[in-house]
Formats: sequence, C-alpha cells, structure tokens
Amino acid sequence: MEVLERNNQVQFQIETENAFEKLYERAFPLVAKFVSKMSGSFQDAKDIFHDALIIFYEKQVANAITIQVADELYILGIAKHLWLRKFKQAQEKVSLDQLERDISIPEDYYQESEENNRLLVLLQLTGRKCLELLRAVYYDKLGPSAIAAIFGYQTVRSATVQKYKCLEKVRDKVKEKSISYEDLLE
Amino acid sequence: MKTSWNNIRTTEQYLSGNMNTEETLLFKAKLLTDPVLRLQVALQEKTYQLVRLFARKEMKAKLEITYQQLFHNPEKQAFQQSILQYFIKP
Repeated sequence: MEVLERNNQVQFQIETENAFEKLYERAFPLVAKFVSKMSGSFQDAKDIFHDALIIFYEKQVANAITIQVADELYILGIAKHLWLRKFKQAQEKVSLDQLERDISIPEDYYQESEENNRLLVLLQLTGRKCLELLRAVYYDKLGPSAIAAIFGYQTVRSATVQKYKCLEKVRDKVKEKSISYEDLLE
Repeated sequence: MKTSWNNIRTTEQYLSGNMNTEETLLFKAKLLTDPVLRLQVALQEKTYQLVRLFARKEMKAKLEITYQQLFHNPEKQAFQQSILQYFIKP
C-alpha cells in the first residue's frame, strides 16, 4: 500500500515534469517573439520566460488561474507584465488585451533583498532537508499523505509533526542569524 | 502537541488569513500587548518568505537544466530555430 502510493507519487512527478517540458517548448517561442519586438536580447527572453513559468506554476498550484485561455498565452501575458515591471518606460510599447490586463504578478517577485539571500545561504548549509519539506508544504502545497510518501514518513501524523519541527527550527535559525530584530518589526 | 507548535499553528492561521473575525481581533489585541509574540509573528513571516525564495531559486536552477538540455539536443533543432530566428540578424 505504502509502496504503491510512493510509486504513484513518483509517476505523478514524472508526468508533471514531462508536461512542463512540453509547455516549455510551446511557450518559449511566443515569449521570444515578444521580447525581440521589445528589442530585448536572447538572454532577456530566457530570463523573462523562466520567471513567467515560475509564476505560472505558482498560480496553478494556488488555483488562481481564472481566465480561460491556453497555458502558453497565459504565460505570454505574465511575461508582458514582467517586462513592464522591469522596464517601466516600455509602457506605451506593450499592448495588453482585456484578458492579459487581469493577470497579476506577485508583489514580491523582483524584490530581492541581500539580507534574505544571505540568510538563505546559511539555512541551506545547516538545514536543507527542512527547507525541502517546507517547500513541499507551502510552495508546492502538497497534502500530508503526499508529503509522507515523498519524504518517507511512516504516517501522516509524523509528517505533520516534522513540518512543525522544521518551521520552528528554521524560524529559530532566522532569529539567531538576523542582523537586527528591528528590521523584522518594521 | 507542544505549546510552541500550537503558537506556530495559530500564527500560521493569522498570517494566511485563516482566522474568523473574532479570532483575528483577539490575536491583534494580543499582538499589541505582547512584544514576544510580535517578534514570533515577524520571524515566522520571514520564514515563509525564505521558503518561497528557496523554492523559486530551485525552480530557476531546474529550468536552467531544461534549457541546456533542449538547446543541446540535435533532435530539437526546429524548436531551437523557432527561438533563435528572432535574435539572429541577417
């Protein structure tokens, strides 16, 4: 039973990855065409496209895609918004149709902070396993039984316990390694 | 369940908006008077941010591998051309 579930999970992951690669091939040409029209480089196109795919994934996981449109067109819409966010002066060059206008981009997407990058490097050194578990829970939004299967916990309950242990561990590490608490309490 | 985990769970419900109005008001009142709780909430919020940052960086690295594979695969020339045509000036 346990083994079966694990196999299903692995099978599911392989299928998801294949689907993602197909989507990659379908959507990249559209984004490349758009970026070249904006006089962007190949590297710009690749960067924007990868970011757009990540945001698309986040929206899919959160069930936040309400517009009925082919996936690659949705990704193109995200890419246009990302381009506008990066190059504010491009405003009059980018035309968004009605559907595209309704697409939103996560506020924090381009807010890279040096402090967060520094903390993340430390966390990866000391507790990568916990980060991976927390990613599965909060980013991939997998349910407790999927988490138990992937991470090899015997029961759903021990997966939940592990989640809390990890949250506490990472949180305490963040506290220990933060430059100042004042920053956190802003 | 440990008390500290209960606190983590309550904070999670607050941060993710999974509290009813009454609970939210109560929690906010506690926040005003309890600096330790205030710090805990801030730290937990930061933790979620860092998990998201980690996940995005991991995804980016994975996409880079997909990119390398697709652009170095001779069977994918039609695909490569469909991208490169826009950037190669005659």
